Amino acid sequence: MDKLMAQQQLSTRHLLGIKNLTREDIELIFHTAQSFKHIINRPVKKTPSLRDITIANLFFEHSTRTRISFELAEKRLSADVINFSAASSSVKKGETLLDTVNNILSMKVDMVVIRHPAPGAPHFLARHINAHIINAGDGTHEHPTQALLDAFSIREKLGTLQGKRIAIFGDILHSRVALSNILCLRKLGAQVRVCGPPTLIPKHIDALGVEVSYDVRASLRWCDVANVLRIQLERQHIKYFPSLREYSQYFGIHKALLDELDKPILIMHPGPINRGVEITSDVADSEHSIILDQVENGVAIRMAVLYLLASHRRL
Amino acid sequence: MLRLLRQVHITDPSSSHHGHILDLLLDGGQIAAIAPKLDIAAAEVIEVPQMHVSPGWCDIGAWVGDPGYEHREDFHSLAQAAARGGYTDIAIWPNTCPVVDSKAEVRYVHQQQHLPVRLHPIGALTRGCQGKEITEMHDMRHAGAIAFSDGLHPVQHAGVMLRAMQYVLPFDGLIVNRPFDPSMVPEGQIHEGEVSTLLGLKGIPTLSEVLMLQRDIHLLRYTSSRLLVYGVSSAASIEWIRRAKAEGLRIWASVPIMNLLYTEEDVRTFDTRFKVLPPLRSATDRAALRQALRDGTIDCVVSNHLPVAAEHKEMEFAFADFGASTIQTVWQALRQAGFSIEMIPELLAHRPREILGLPPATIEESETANLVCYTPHTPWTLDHSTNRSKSLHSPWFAQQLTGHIRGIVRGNAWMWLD
Repeated sequence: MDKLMAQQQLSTRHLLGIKNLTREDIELIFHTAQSFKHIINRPVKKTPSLRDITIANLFFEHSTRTRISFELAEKRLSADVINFSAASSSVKKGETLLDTVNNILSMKVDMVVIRHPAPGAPHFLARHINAHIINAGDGTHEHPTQALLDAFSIREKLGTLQGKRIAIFGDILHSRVALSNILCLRKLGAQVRVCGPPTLIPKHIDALGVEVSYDVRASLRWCDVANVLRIQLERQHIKYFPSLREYSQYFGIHKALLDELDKPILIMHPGPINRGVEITSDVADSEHSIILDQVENGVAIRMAVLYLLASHRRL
Repeated sequence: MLRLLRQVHITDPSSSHHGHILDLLLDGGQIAAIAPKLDIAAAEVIEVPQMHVSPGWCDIGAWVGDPGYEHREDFHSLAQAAARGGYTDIAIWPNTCPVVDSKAEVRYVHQQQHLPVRLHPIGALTRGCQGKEITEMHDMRHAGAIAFSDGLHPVQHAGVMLRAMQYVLPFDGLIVNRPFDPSMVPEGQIHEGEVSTLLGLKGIPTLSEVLMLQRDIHLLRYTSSRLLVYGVSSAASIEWIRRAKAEGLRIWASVPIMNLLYTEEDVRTFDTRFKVLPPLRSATDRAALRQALRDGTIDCVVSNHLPVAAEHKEMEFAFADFGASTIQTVWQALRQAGFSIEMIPELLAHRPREILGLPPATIEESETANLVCYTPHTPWTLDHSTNRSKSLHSPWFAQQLTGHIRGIVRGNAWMWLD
């Protein structure tokens, strides 16, 4: 693995967003993740690849799945890991963020995985500190590893992204997953449509080369893959729709809608699921759902990203 | 004291000496003589090659933090920065703590007569700039308030604006309002467009400016009052201002210097120096603003100087405060935006004074001296040694600029800068 990868490396020393990656970067990450997926399914799941690397996971916003996934990926690669969590309210000031990180870095940390409520917080760090930065979600901006694992999971099931139709449903306005997904899927040749209430779709989203629809039924008919997003109530400081009840009725994905389709489609969700709001349990748990594959692939993708960025350092 | 400015380019389209290289004699705050060659033995002679002399610049709506926020900018630092920007008169916002909303606060500003730059207080339009009850504007006007505005806080309530426009009619007061309705997108960070979408930042639509502008124009028509539209940022607004002027309404408009130079593209790297209100909009908007300034639809350029403390700027973009320190580099920036040396005195000196009702600062004999002296082709850099604002957050910081302000004269106040 080390020999193979030594010949290729990412075009960037940080993973700040999908917008900073080339298509070749994405292919390299997928290729690497494929190898790691084999490794984590072996009886001996660890590799010594990052044995001399110390990684700080800085989570300034609550997270379960992403944090655990990163931590597992780091441990599978034999990195030394330190975890830091803080509620967003305590880090309202940039000096605090910079101070916190500088304190941690003075302990000779090589990489920082950061989740933060402010768009651009990882970019801010990248300007100020020396370590490799991995964006694990910055506010309503990007969540690049989620987009990578989503695209990887689709490709695993459909063989390719080229020409495939992916519909993203729900709260597009507040979703970093949507933005990163759009950028990643477009780079890989897929067609993308967003669907949700007009108040939750950014006005200029079509500039990203996506279609916009307010019709869930028609969008389900159109797509090969439905990626259903969570309603981000914690980011909605004003009312964008009147009630969850009405939202689930008009914009939720339920079994009857899928039964109307003339072909099976893949169902995805980045989690955590609000069962009965954006998606019903019978859809989330159906045979077409690849939600748990996404989780498994998440570890492999994050191992690949960590590994490739660390290689970047060595060269 | 007699001072002789030797062989200076008089750059003042309103002056009969415009375009000539002449000697200029200052005596006791007045321009005593202008002639091809003056020999006054008693005079201190200032001779700088290629030096231009224009009427001192005048700004409408700079912010100073005295009282309440002196750590961001106090009278002294503002005056020093403004003098180095070539300003001799500045109308300052009322958004201090306490707010300038009664004659006592107006007088406090007027007490600052020791400064090289004359500060003119803009009185608050509503108590505490809270947008609810109109202030004692008669009183403030008698104390020396030059105009009325809630400054950084646009007046949201149409009825309040209506009554304010009516209330100033007896003395023909000037109302200044920044057209911006934040309720459209309460957490707006930058211009709404492709860049805001890509950065995941809430966008501020052009509509939030145009809606309030239209409201203010309707109110102006209804009241026959006088309005300065502060800080136009969008092409869409320009058409409305053009029509209102054609209709004969007493309306003026200003554009912030940053909106003439920069666009939403400059925010792509989450650089908080470009987080300002009004937001930096599209390249199309910028082009339209430049054109409107040339054709007179927009009357003047403002610094929109709003210094922010480092701990509120060097941080995550979404948490950072709006504002930038600009007043020291407006002339150079206007040159970067393609405006000629000859045109700038109109945009920075004459029209702002006309709007405010200040006496014209014309370069003629027997006039009061109100001058800026500058060498327009000298390279100059705003850096730690030259910056005089308390804030370093300027888009022009560490950039090499062309043009150096050498000094200002305002009556008896004389400030030679190096």
